[in-house]
Order: sequence, then structure tokens, then C-alpha cells
Amino acid sequence: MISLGFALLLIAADDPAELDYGEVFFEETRGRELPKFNLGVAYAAGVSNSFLDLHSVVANGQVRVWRYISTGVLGHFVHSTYSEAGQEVNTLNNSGYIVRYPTPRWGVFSHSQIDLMLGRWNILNLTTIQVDLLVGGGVGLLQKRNDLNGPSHSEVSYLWSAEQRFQVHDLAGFSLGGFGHAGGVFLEAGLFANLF
Amino acid sequence: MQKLAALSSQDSNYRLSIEELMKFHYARAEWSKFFAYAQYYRKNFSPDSQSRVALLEPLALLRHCQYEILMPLVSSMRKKHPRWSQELDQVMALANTRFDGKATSSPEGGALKLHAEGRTLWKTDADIIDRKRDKIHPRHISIKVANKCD
Repeated sequence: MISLGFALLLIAADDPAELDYGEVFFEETRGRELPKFNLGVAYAAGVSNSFLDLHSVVANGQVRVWRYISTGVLGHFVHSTYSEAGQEVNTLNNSGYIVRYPTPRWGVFSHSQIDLMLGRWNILNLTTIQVDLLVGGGVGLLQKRNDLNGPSHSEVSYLWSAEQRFQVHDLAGFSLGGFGHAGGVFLEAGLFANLF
Repeated sequence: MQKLAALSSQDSNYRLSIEELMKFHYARAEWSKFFAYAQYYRKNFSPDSQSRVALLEPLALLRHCQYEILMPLVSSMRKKHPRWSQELDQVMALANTRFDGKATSSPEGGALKLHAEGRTLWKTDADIIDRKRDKIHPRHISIKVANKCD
């Protein structure tokens, strides 16, 4: 017995050229791999220290080692000043209390990232924005001061990072993210370029 | 095979390249690629120019136990290709029997495997494979057909 749906399919598909079936996908091969070389520069503000205003520049160079994994070097350069709260607490020094604010100065880290997600948005057919979420980590050398004007010392530190890249051009885009090491946690906003 | 897939639609050997790629993907049980080539071949080349390679499409549907698609396809192919009546009768006879090896395995792997291979799939409309052969090459298309065999 032929079902009604089957009969309709027979009628509709009289011309074999018109018979469509299956789920059709456009296949993109290796279109969402990380670029071979990526360089990013960003401004980062410290958010983990209430007594210091930490303004910094971070530079991240990455080389792709596999489709979705890259590795490279991250450099971080910090400028520290007292925040309002820090200035107030600093007045305790006049009362015989010793107040110190350990602060990072600069750090150099090995940094590896993995690309987790991809989104693509078509903006009114004018341009395409590709969005990637990258998480990463590493280890490196961090130079810190015991106090804002105190002696400095170096120590080994971990690094973690989470970055959202918005690629508005084949070769460049902007990024938002956060990272942290033994000197604090920072939020960053910057630009990146895909070199190859 | 990459050189075959790179042939332009204006090349005199283009139809032969599509046929070879159909056979290649069928032999390797790469069904999502095979069905893309098979539908493209059926829609973009006139029945008079098609070779017996076109019979691989109903065979592949048979091996996926997709009888609701197979029946109308075979029925229509009988009209367009009366010279293949004997082969189509055999396909229909096999559709009504059970035997070991009828159902195909599907070694293509799941979504994560595709992702690890760097292949990204974007859902699209069925009519992306249109009559205009230069619109898109089937190497850019994947068509998933469910295996309904027990």
C-alpha cells in the first residue's frame, strides 16, 4: 500500500533532476583555522588591586602549531600609581604604620591559546564579522616591586587568559579579554593583526 | 583526486571528473560527499550524456534503506534511461530483501571528528545544487542522508 506522502513524492518527483533529499551543507575546509602568525597589542587595566591604579600595555605574538592551537610570547608592561584609596591608606605611614603595595612592573610569559568557538555574522551584506573565543595559559617571569618605589625582584608566575577576537577584516580586528598572573588580574582591549 | 576536483566546469573532461569523484567517494563510503556529487551529476548533466555511474545513486540509497527516496528516483530513472531497466529491476529486487552487507557502515565519523579535520559545515538550502553547473562545485557541498537500516 502506498502512503499518501509517498504518492505525492512520486508525483512531485517525476523529473529525477528535481528530486532533492538529505540535509545539505556548504562545506568549508580549514576556513576557521587560526592564522599562521598573529600579533596583538592592547591596553590593560588592573582590576584586582583597590589601592593602585594599574595601567599597562600588553603585546601578544602567536604562532599556529595546529589548526586551533597556537603558542607564543606575551609581554606585559605596567605603570602603577596610587588610587584614591591607596593615597588615603598611605597616610598611615605618617602614623608609624608601614604600608606597602606590591606591584608588578613587567612580565614575559610563554603563552599558548586554544580556539574554542566561531561565530560569523553577515552585517547587511556589507561585511562579515568573525568572532573567536580563545583561552590560554602559560608560565613566565614577572618582575615586581615590594612597594611603589621599593626594590624590585623577579619571580616565576603563572599566566591565564581569555580573549574574544572580533575579526572585521581578513587581516585584522579588535579584541576584548582578560588575563591574570601573580601580579594581578587585568581587563584588556586592543587590536590584532593576522600576519600570514 | 584534488586535481580532478579542481577542474573547471568549462573543461572538456569536467563530466568525467565528476564521474570519477562519484566512484571514488562511493568506494570509500564517504556518503556525504558522494550524495553531493550524485545529486549534482543528476541535475547538471543531460540524461543522454550520463553514464552508468548514475546508477550508484539508487544503489547508495538502497544501502541506506532510504526506500521513500529510492522509489521515486528509480521510477523516474526508468523513464529517462530505459536502457538501464534491467539494473533498476535488480535494485528494486534488492530493496525487498534482507541480506548481510546490504546496509553500509558509515566511517565518516561524528561532528567532533569533522571539526578536528578542519571541516566546517554551514546548513544551506537544497537548491544550492542547481542546474547551473558553474554555480558551485560539489566539492564544497556535503549532503547528509540518514541510514535507516536496522
